[in-house]
Parts: sequence; C-alpha cells; structure tokens
Amino acid sequence: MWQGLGRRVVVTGIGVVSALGTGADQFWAAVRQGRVGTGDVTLFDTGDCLTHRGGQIREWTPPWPDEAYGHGPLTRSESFALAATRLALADGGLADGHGRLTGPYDDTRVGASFGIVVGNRPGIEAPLRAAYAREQARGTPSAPVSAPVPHPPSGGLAPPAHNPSRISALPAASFGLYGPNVLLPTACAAGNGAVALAADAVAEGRADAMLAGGTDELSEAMFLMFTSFRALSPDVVRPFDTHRAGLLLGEGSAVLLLEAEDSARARGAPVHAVVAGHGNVSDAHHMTAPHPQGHGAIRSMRAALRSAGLGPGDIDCVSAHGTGTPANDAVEAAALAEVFGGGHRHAPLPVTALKSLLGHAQGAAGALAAAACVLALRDGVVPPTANVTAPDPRCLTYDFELVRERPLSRPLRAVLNNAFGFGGNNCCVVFTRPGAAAEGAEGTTGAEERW
Amino acid sequence: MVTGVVVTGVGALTSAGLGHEALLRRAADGAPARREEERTLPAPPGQPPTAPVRLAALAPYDPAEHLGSRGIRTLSAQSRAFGVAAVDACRHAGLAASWEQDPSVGIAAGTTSGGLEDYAGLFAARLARGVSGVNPAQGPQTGLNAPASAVSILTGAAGPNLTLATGRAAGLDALAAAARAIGSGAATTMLAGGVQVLGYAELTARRRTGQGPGPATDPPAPGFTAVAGEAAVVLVLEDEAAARARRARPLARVLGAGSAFGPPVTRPGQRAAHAALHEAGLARGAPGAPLAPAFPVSAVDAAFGDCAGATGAVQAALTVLGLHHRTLPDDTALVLTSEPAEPGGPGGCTAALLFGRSRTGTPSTGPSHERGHSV
Repeated sequence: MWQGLGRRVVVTGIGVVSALGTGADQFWAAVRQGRVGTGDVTLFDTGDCLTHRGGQIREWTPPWPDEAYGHGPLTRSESFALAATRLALADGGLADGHGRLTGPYDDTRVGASFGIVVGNRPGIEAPLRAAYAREQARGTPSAPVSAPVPHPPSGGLAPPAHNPSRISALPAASFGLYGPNVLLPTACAAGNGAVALAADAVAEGRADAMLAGGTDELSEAMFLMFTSFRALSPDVVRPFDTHRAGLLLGEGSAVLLLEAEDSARARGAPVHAVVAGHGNVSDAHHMTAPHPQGHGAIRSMRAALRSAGLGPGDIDCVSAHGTGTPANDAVEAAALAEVFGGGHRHAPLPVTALKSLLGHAQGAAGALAAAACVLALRDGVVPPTANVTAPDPRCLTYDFELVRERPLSRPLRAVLNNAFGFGGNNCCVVFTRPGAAAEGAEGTTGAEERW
Repeated sequence: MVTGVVVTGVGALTSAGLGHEALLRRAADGAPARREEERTLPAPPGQPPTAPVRLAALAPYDPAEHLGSRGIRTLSAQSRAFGVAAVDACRHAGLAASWEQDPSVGIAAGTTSGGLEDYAGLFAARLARGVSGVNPAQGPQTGLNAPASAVSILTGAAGPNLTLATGRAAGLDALAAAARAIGSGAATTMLAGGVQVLGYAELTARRRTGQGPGPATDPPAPGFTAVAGEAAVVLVLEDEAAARARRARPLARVLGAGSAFGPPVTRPGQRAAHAALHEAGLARGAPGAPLAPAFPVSAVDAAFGDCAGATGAVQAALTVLGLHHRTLPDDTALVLTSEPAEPGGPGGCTAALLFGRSRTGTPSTGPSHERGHSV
C-alpha cells in the first residue's frame, strides 16, 4: 500500500469569486439568504441562442490589479483563480502584504490544486473570431497568416490559452506556492476532485498546506454546446422542481486553504472544517448522460462516507450537484435514496442545491459548493435552494427535505458535497465540523454516539 | 516505503508506429524526429489556413481494430489515440480491455490538448454557420477529460477517472495519481498515461503567442523543439497481489512519485526527484538512488518530437521497458519531466516517478509469455 502519514486535514481559509460577491463573507451572506445571482449574459452575443441567461460575474474587478502579477493578459478564469487564491491565503493568515505566502511553512511544502472544465480555453475565442472576421473582410481565401508572432515576455497579443496549466501555475508563481501542483480537468467534478487530491497530499505528508479549488469562466463555446443539447433553462435554475427546465452556465472560483490539523492549531489558525473523506468512482456509461441507475454517483458517495469513517446516518446535510436538468436531478435523487434512504436515518436529510443561486460554474462549481459546505458547518446553517415552487414528488421524498425559501439553522456535524460531470466523472467529498468525530471509526453505521 | 504497484503492460501509438516494440525501435535507432515531413493542419470552418509545421504525427492506424467500430466516429483524435494505446497496453498485459462496470479498474490521462480542436471547431462552426451549425455530437469531445472518459466508457473501467493537465508533467502526474489510487485501495488496476495530438487550434494559438512551433523552415522558439510530436502512451498499473493472482508478468514496480513547481532557481526537478526517492525509502545519494533520468525529455523530443503532455508517459514507457529488458543497468530508474524554461513565464510543473526492476520479471530481449491477444 501507498503509505501516508494519515494526517487530519482541515480548512483554515476560504477565497471566493462568484456572481454573488467576492470574498467568503459577501458570498456567504448572499448564499444563506438564497439570493439568486443569475441574469442576462452580456459577455458574448446570445442572440441566436435559445436562452440568454447565466451566472455571469458582473463588471469583474479583481480585488488586486491583475497587472501587478506581471503575467501579461489573462483570461477571466485565470484572474478569478489569482483572486480566490490570494483571498484564501489572506483569510487563513498566510499572506504577506503582496499576497505571497508567509508564515511557518517552507514555500516548497505548499502547493496548488485546481479543477477546471474549460479553464483558460475561452482565450482562443477572440482570436478565432478576429481571424474569421478578417477572412470575411477579404472575401477570398488568404495566405497563411499564422507565422510566429514574437511578443514581449511580460505581455502578448493574447493569453496563451492553449496551455491549461497556467490556471494552477499562475497562482503558484504569484504567491510562491512551490510544492505539488495539480490541474485536474475532470469535467464538473473537478472542483471537488482538486480538493480531494490536495487533501491527500497534505494527509500523506507530501505537502504541509495546499490551496485547492476550482475556477472557470463563462465561455461562448460551452454556451453553444449546451444550447445544442437544449439543456439550458430559459430563465432560472430549479433543482428538483417539477418544472425544472435545465441548467444555467456560470463562472467563478473558490479556493480552500488546507493544512494538517496539528500544524494549523500550532500556528493558532481558525479551523473551519475537516476534509474527512472523498470518493471518485466513474459511471463508465455515456459522455453526457448520467448512468440511469446512478452507479457512479452511488459508489462515489459510499466511497466518500467509507473514507470518512461515517455512515449514512452521520451526514446532516447534502450539497447536491443539483443542476436543474430533468435527467440529472432524477438520477441524483435516486442515488441519494439508495445511499441514505431505507431507514438509515431518524429524520429527513436536508438537501440544498447551490446552482439555483449561481448557475453551474463548471470546474468551480464543486469548489464553490465546498466553500458553502465549510461555511454551513461553521455557522450551523443550511442555505436554501432558490426558485423551487413545486418540488418534484418523484425526487427527494420521504427520507429527504429539500431546503428552500429560507435557511435551515441547526448544528451540523457532517456535510456531503456532490459533484458529477460529463464523461461519467464523479467526486464526492465529506466535510465535518472540527471537534465532531475527531476519531474516525470503522464501519458505516451506528456512528451517532461518536459525536 | 512504497510497495505494491507494478506495471504489467505498455501500449504506445506514436510517430514510430503502434506498439511498444515500435517505441523501443525508434528510441534505439535514433531516427530523429526532425526528419519528419511538413504538414498542413486542416482549419476549422471559416478560419484561415496555417503555415505548414514539421510534425512527428501519429503513424497511420485503424482505430476500429482496437476499439471496434461502435461509437468511434464521434471521438476526438485524442480520444481515439488514447483508446488505442489503452487497449494495446491491456493486450500487452494479458487483459481483455473489457470490464462490466468494474469500479476496481480506473483511468488516468495526462494531456494539455485534449478536446481543444473540437472546442475550436464548435466555436468556429457557430461563426461560419450560426448556432444551428453547431454539431451536438462534437460537444462532449471538447473537454480535456474526453480521452480518459471515452476509454472508461469503451472498456467499462468504472473506477477512479482522472485527467491531469499540468503541462509537460501531465503524463507523469497521471501515472503518479494512478499509482496512488492503487496504493490507497481505490483501484486494483489503472490504465494511465498521456496523449497529445496537435491540431490547428493549438498550433495557431502557440504561434500567436510566440511559443512555436513555427513554420518548418524557422528555427525553434527559445525553449521549444523545432519539431512537434504526437503520442498516446498507456501503462497498465496493477496492485501487485492482484497481478500475481492472475499470474501476470510484472515489467517493473512503481516505487515513488514527486511533484514540484517553481522557477529554475527553486530547483523543482531536484525537489521532485528527491520527493520520489523519499517516497521510495531511498536517501539522496544512497547507492541505487538515481537522480538523473534514464530517458531525459531531450531524448524524447529528439526521437518523437515535443509530445507536450504525453512526454512523461513516453519517458515512463521507455524506462519500464528498459528495466524489463535490462537495457538499463541499475535496478531503479528515474523519470523526470519538466516544462522548458520559458523566458518570463510563470515557471512550470515538474514531476518525477521512480521505477524499480520487477522482482519476478524475466530478463529478456523482447516481450515474452504474453497472454491474450498479440500486440
């Protein structure tokens, strides 16, 4: 077996860039109120599309100027990632005045881990559009125009959007995170997956701390793709509603600062939550459709519970993937029933779906939901699912309670965060409240007395 | 000390041809990639042509022979190539490459180009033909995760599914993640490696930002080889006990892995190598603790072209085969992949993987006693 140290991994800092605000405080204040951040998309022309709505970040202004980092032109996803990472470092008390890593850790022992779907790929869209316009203007086929174009090292004509590794490289370079570096493009499970891999790196002693999360931007190509699937909602996202009509694409970034618990406590850092376990089991079924019986989702949830040493009865809230598409929500509801139904619980399990507020932020979605899970544990609040007026009677029945209209206040011990993606990529992560279940136990049931 | 993960198969599709023998031959005979022909890559609809590029392109192959004919028409070039390499690796390992939704078998792919050509094609289609011109079948292949997901779907490997896109380190990072998945008990078998296929979108984007490769007649941009390369290479990693139970022949053992980031002054290569040695329980400078890679990136570049995200997988395959065939002298061998130094760039990811000679491997000069299909 691969032998790690098995250190407990905790969350000590949160950085968020979202359509509901920048910084964990703004984000959480809006989320716990159930404020909807989706609206008209203005980044590109949606005129001939079926819908014109999305979770766009309006008038994005980085909290610190991007130019200061000296990386030349950036895509939105790169800018989001830089801001969220700096916010997380600052929130965790590990940033100096320039945002660079400071504190007790050697910079070679602190790494970065990001999940993406498109990452900086939308950066190729403007050049393609310009080239098309030039071709149209000429009216006749032109000579090859793609000879090398020299550019100054610190600037350029366009961001090198063919190179996805910039997503995790730019924050690492900017803030001095010279440890393990991960870029995980596992579709819409990527934000959760990046947190999971980073937690492993800390738990196994390959790093002392990791900045982990996801980032993505609204992309015209993805908008077109989902338009071609007829999977976009015409107005809002209604997870698990009878009249749910599809998802809305969104954007943003969330980054968690992960550390070993003993190190975090030694430096007096506030411990918001524990990354207790995760599971990544794929569907192996279809590039876009979930497995009809939810095999991958069920196995991922069970694997996450198992690695956290918890049983179904120990989870106090599920942050559902909840895209608002008819098929995905039905399969996720069935999978939840398989894992948590059938008498495992004394009371209905609260379920919430953040995408009703933000749209689907793609590779950032799992990370944004992870940030919400951590804050929910900290404050004992399950944020509401918005836009649901007629809960689907075939979804989340009996054993579940879809939290909607208003937040649910109650002490939370453990939260499961689901993230499922195209290609059958799945990743589920369990977060627990610090102090609850300090010692993992064997088995998957009867863990109530451990709290 | 890390124990319990072995390599039991190598699959390769490169400019040298299909199969690990072709890989070995190209590495041994020194046929340089720069002899490759100039090619003009097809442009998406409405886009201008691009100047020719000298490209060590994938050798011609028939994907249906490895993948069957069902569903492969809509796969991207990367997904097809990665799938063929995966099945080739399974055949080498004596596996049928077909499972019934088995959660103990997973996939890990390293790539930086996966889906980019389809992404650009989908976008260009809208420009040229409007929204109705967008082909829904192209959408799922626009993602970097498409190769790993496609192989999962084609083979029924329903375990962990990972894609790493850490630049040139991606292939090695995928192999490391796969080994960790086995070591942690999340899987017993992982098909892992890298895939890189050059398309119009990547070529023009690289040229636009001065990151080569330029036209065939131009000198390379600083830090970049003049010749672009394509490769799909997959290794079968297995839990040692499970491999032994099915009487598989181990080619090599995975001993440790390391990852580091930073500008050259922070010595990321040395740090990644030390991390891999540490994980293997080997002290720096101790006997049997290599610090130099057996097949450096420059050797892969010279023989196969710049295979970008698949480079590490090519290096790993050659290293495993070198250990198995005893063309490498020592019992341990290091694979080290890092980004080329890019003036003004943010620095790059570096990955290291340490392999050991199999304790039960049969020294030989060629593949031996394989079960299942021939390669």
